[in-house]
Amino acid sequence: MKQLSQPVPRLYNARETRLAWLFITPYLIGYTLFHFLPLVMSFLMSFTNLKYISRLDKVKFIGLSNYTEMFGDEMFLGSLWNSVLFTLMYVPFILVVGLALAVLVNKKLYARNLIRSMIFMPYVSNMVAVAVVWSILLDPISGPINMTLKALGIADPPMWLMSSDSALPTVAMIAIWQGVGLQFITYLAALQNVPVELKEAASIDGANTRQIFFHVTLPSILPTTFLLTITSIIGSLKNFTIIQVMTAGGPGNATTVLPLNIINTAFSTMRMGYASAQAMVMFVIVMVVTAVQWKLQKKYVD
Amino acid sequence: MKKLVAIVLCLCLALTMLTACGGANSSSQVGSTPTSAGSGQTKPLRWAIKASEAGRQEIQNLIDLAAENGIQVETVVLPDPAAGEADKLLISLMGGESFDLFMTAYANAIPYYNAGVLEPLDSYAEQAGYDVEKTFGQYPARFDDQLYGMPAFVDTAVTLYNKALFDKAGIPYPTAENWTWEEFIRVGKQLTNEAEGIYGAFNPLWAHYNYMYAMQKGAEHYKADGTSNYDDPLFKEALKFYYDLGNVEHVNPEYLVQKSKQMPLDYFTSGNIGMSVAGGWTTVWLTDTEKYPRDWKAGMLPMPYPEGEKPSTSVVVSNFYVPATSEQKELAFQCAALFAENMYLMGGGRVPARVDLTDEEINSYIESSLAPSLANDGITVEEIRAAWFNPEIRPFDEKVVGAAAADINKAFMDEGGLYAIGEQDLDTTMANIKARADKAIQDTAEQ
Repeated sequence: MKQLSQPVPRLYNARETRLAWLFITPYLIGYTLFHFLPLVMSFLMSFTNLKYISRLDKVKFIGLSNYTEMFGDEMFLGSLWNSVLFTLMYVPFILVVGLALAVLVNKKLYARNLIRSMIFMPYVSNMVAVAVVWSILLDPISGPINMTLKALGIADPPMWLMSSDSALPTVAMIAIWQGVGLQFITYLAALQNVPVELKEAASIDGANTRQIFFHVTLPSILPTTFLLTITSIIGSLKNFTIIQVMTAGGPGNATTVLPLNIINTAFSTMRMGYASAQAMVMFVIVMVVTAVQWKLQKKYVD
Repeated sequence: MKKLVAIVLCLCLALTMLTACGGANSSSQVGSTPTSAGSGQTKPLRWAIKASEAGRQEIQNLIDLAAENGIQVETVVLPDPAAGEADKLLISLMGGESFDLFMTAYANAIPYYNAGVLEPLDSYAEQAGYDVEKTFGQYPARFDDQLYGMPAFVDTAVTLYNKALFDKAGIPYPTAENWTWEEFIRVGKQLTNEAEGIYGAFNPLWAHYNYMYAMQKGAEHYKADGTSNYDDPLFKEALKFYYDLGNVEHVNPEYLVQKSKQMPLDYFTSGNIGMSVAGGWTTVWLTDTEKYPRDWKAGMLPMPYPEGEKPSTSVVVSNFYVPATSEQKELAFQCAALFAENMYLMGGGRVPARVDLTDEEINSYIESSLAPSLANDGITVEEIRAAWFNPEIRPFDEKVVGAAAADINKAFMDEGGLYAIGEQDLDTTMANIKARADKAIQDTAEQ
């Protein structure tokens, strides 16, 4: 009886396996064609002097020249620094604001569903439309924000996107406004999964609301915080669209972040090899940041 | 059944993925007249055109002209490459795709030449006994002293002005004689009424305005040793002149106003702008009343020039090129020559690149082709002649033509912008432009 019944699950597993492969094959093909192969090609190109407009027979292997050039390239270093600054402004604020909003909406609140939708709406809005609206609002000369500030007695209101000093923080602020919906909704789900018994126990032990939040709620949602931190850092380092549509990297190069510089290097100055090397550096930075956070997560969460 | 559903789902996924990889080219057979006997043409010439050119009557007319001459041509429509985007035609040619013909401005053709995808045309001209210089003078595109392009037309800059605003300000219409920048500023100041949102002039934030004034005074972008020439005081003067138009003279909207309000390049058509100095193609704002409806009339003048200098104007010459991947190169050359000679007659309002036309032919062309489309504005044959056909006006290249042109333009835009918002002084701005240009030129040379 046992001998007869054994082949059945094997057949079943084999069919399941075939089906599984059948389903994931299109994705694997897509991934290989559009992610893995370009990654490998980009890696190989980073050691060449390839320009996409040069004759292919003139392409030379130049070793690590592209990588060494970066350290003396003010444009690259400046864009890397801008990316770091943007990340430092974007990540802490979007996490704090997302959490604060989630905590507020998690309570019984008037028009809670409406508020929830309003917070999430910018996240699903068209980036170009968002850029146009904010450009009008932040018009330093006749925009409603600066007009209001002037009416309130501020003689010299900020230039927002039109000044080298304020452009990057302004873009970061808009990026936070636009992206906070995801952090908010994820935190909200996490907050709703915090066991009520834990809070009640803490309360019985004499903990106040602040102590419950910092010693019960926050540790309970730490895995979510780690996940959001990783995705926010990666997102901020890869950030391109909002800066391209709002400032195109200006004024001067005040908001030229690394992805924008890579695009400019590849398609304006047409140096594909050098742009690939920059992309590889960015890839390594993202990998290292992710790996470090993964380690920390394992240490503090698991 | 389960297996069938799974296979169908997989096929759908695969098809969706492959659909995303599809090209956006569209090809249309527009030549109606069949190939004449004896031409030996086995298949139509493939003419790559931009999406923005598709549907233009002059394109259709050219194809019909080719058909009348026994050459069958089909167009292949490719997307327009926006600033900073890869040019699909260039990529396709580098990938070996066969095209027989395309047209672009000289500065835009440099990457094609560098990529080795252009066919030199000297041998075909020689074989056909075609005297290119006699017909087109110095306009044909040449790289390293070899002929590569047959010039189709010369886009010559003009000043357009809004007659209604001149009437409102009680100012007589300007004339081509002594139309200097100094006069332009004087008139522009009188027209400007910032409270009503009216400005004397509007010149979009384009890179070439940064150095235009220097070019009119005879400056060169490159020194003899190949480095940039931006330490020449003329460039410093030119940069200051351009940004002063808005920030100091208040003839243009201030730089910050233009930038923050993202004024479109056709803002002149809003009716609130007195004058516009831009390429000759901007006359389409006057002739295309469907797209640019207006209840005011416009006038036309040459480009202003610096006082004390000889009149000059910026030009962009567009040529027909034969790609190296063409399978019918000889025929493609014949077609390029035919198109180059006749494009101005196809109703596009072009200034011909031909130097062999007699005064009578030019007059006849202006009267029969250019003047009727501008007649509604009261623009006369003499005014058109003064703007576009005056041999006394010295032409100069509108754009940087040479090594690292894209980087140089970007340096002007970046650094000039910082100067315009008061974050950088003029000397630092010019020093930065010079340094960036030299580095880009050196990088290009090393590449």
